[in-house]
Amino acid sequence: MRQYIPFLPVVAIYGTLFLTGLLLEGMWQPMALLAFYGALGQVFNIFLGLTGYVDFGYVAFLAIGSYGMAIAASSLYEDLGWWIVPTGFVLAFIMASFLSIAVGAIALRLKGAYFAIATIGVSEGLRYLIEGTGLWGGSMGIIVSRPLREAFGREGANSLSTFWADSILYGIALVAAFITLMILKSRAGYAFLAMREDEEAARVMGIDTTRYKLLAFFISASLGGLIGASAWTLKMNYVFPSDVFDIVYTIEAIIIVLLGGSGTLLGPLVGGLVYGALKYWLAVTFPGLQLLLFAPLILVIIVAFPQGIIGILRERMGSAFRGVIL
Amino acid sequence: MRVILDVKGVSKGFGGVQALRDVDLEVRAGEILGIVGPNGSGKTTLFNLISGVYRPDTGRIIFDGVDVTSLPPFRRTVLGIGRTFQIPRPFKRVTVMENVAIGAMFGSSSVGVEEGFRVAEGYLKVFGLWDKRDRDAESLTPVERRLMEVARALAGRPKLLLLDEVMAGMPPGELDGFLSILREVKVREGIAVVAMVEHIMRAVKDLAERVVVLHQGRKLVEGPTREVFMDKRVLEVYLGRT
Repeated sequence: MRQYIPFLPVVAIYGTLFLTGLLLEGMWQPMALLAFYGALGQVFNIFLGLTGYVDFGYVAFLAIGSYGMAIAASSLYEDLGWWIVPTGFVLAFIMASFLSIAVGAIALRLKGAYFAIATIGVSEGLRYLIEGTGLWGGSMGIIVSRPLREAFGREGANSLSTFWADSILYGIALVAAFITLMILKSRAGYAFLAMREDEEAARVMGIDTTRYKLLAFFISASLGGLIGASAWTLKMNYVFPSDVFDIVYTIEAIIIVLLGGSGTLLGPLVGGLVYGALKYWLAVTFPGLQLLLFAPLILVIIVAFPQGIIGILRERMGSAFRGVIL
Repeated sequence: MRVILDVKGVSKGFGGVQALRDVDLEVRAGEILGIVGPNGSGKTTLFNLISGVYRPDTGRIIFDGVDVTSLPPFRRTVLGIGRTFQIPRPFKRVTVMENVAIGAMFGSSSVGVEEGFRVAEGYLKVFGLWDKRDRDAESLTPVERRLMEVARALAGRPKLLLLDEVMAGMPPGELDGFLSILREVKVREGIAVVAMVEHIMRAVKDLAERVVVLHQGRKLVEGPTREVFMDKRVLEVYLGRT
């Protein structure tokens, strides 16, 4: 049981966010935004945090997942009824994981900056493929409000968009955090640790680094697909390629993970909270100037604290507490 | 004695430089073999071929009955080839204990996390690093880093241990201690050791039962340690006489 203790603060924080949103008037959407950033960070951390590889095209997995849900909803609603949502999540998971295997098998052979560049290429390429060939509605995208209304009724579709789509994000964040904890505590966690420090030495120590990288890429990507399916398709009721392939989401994911503490359990959660709150506060306090103030602020924080908030806390606490805060 | 490693006629060139030409090498189970040779004689290339960092242009490498010529490094480690690096490569921001435990978890022993730490404990004590177990590896002195690398390699329970200049820079007092630890571990676990040495001939004479001398990518002489160091050709290579 002791090994699950680090999971308690994670549950406590997401639980507090959820209850705050549920009980306080007007707080559901702000809390849902924090949950989105928490989930995004938590899921992206499984790849960036564990392997140290930066995927600049990560948003492609969220995008393909949002298409998975949209395809299920728009083409199957007459046959499946409300089953289109579970089916959509399964399809989102499958499409994102297939994409991750295809991309990973090739791009993960590249090192450092080459990997980053290749992944941007995949994401942008996929977007232009969809827009250019007219696949899945091309640049017109897929609008699912009518199928969802037909399957769930007006009320049901409404609560799906304003309540369930957000709630599922809390669930994805918790699942991702739990998987992270299990990996960190297992042999695989030590394989990733060795690999981040010195990949060639890790290979000589008997670690099949390609397999572990692909594993992390696969888990991170397929959970990312679920985020896209929920936060975009179910919540917005439409999928436009120019929205879902926006590189801004990739950059936000990178910032959240680095800000909170790459490769730690709590880091992406803390990073997501700080990032989301800061972004929200700046937009309210200095409307119009938020990005101008936000970018240098983030830059300063990341340059000054490269290990992230949790990384610093762990260092300060000394070795005795390393096992508690992960 | 059983042959654990059989290197058959390997050659390796880098662009215009022929680093190794048609080298044969046999290592028997449980023996300590010294490989000596001046700088540029092909020692490190030979190590990299055996551990899998490079693949040979020609020739084959058979380890414990398995043809490993084109296997990647991690597979060879799992089969039982352990090595250290000429310039130590500890996992720097990882504790000394975890470094050695990682060696145990992924070597040919392939144990779980708890067992890995238990195995690490034993080797840290043997190599006198127990008091520093919770420090990050980057805080170790160069000599301690070498010791930690040997402990990390041994924790994986190799059948063959390749030591790349592991004794370089060791003060004479510590060298004796290290040699006796190495002999003890080798006898206890029955592993074969191939130690590559450039300068410290005393270490080779004390440690190795057999010596191979490399010169300009070829095997110059091979035989029992005492005889090899009396050989006229070896003296020529090292002292530059004709």
